[in-house]
Amino acid sequence: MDISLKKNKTDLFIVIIATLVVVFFVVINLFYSNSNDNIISVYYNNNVIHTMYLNIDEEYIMEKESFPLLLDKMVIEVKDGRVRIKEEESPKHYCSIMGYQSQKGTSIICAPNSVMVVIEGYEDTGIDWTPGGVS
Amino acid sequence: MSTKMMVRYGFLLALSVILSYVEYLVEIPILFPGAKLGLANAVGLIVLYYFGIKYFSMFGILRVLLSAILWTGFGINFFISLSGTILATIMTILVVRYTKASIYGISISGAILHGLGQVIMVAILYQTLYMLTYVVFLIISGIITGYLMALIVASLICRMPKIVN
Repeated sequence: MDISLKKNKTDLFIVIIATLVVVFFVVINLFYSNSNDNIISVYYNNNVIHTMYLNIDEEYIMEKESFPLLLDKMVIEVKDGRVRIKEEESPKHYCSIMGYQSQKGTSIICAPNSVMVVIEGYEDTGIDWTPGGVS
Repeated sequence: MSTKMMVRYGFLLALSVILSYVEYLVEIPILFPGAKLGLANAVGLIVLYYFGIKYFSMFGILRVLLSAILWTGFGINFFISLSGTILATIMTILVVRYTKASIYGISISGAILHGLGQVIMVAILYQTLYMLTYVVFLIISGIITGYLMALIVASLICRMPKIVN
């Protein structure tokens, strides 16, 4: 087997295909995002436990006593049409590092705490892409 | 495989396990939260170049298994890592077999599919499609990190003495 160490046209083709996939996802996201809803769902252990609204500033505090899967107290903040995980305890603090999010369909997943914050608005495209069906 | 080759394969495997641990410990803040350079995958490319598809296909899975045994355990992270590695390995084999891509194209496609595999596993584990919005960032970071790793591997191979006779 001989693998070339010099760039060639096939490499460029791969990059172009990848770029087209990016453009496709961006267009789909823009096309299907619904501007009417501002709902933020807070999931804990795969269940919606709280609903917030992008246009209403709010701080939602989750205490470890009430939510035992949390590593420590968590604070979710909605401010100026954006949402973030303000305080949390996790090994790398990815959830709080992600900062404010406002794009519909975006989610902040905090796996170590079993928490997910989702800005609703991603509509079903009709594609039968069932996560459970992939495996 | 001769004993000499087996020892070299083992050394490269150990190196990739160490590199993945270093990357796990020392966060290099690039591009997006969670995005990594994939230094361990660079070692995989060296294995692919010198040892061929057969040994490369086992390499990634062995690395994930060893990392899990040594420090990360067999929790959610293991399955996320494993799915990324399996998808990247399959993609790499397909690209090597059926295209004329150089080490750059192989590395980029592997890096992209590695991220995609992880996202699919998260989507399965958390039963959500929302993670798919992250695909855009993963593809962009996959192109950049894949290119960088190929650049490193290509210059290493040019400078290193041939490790396989």
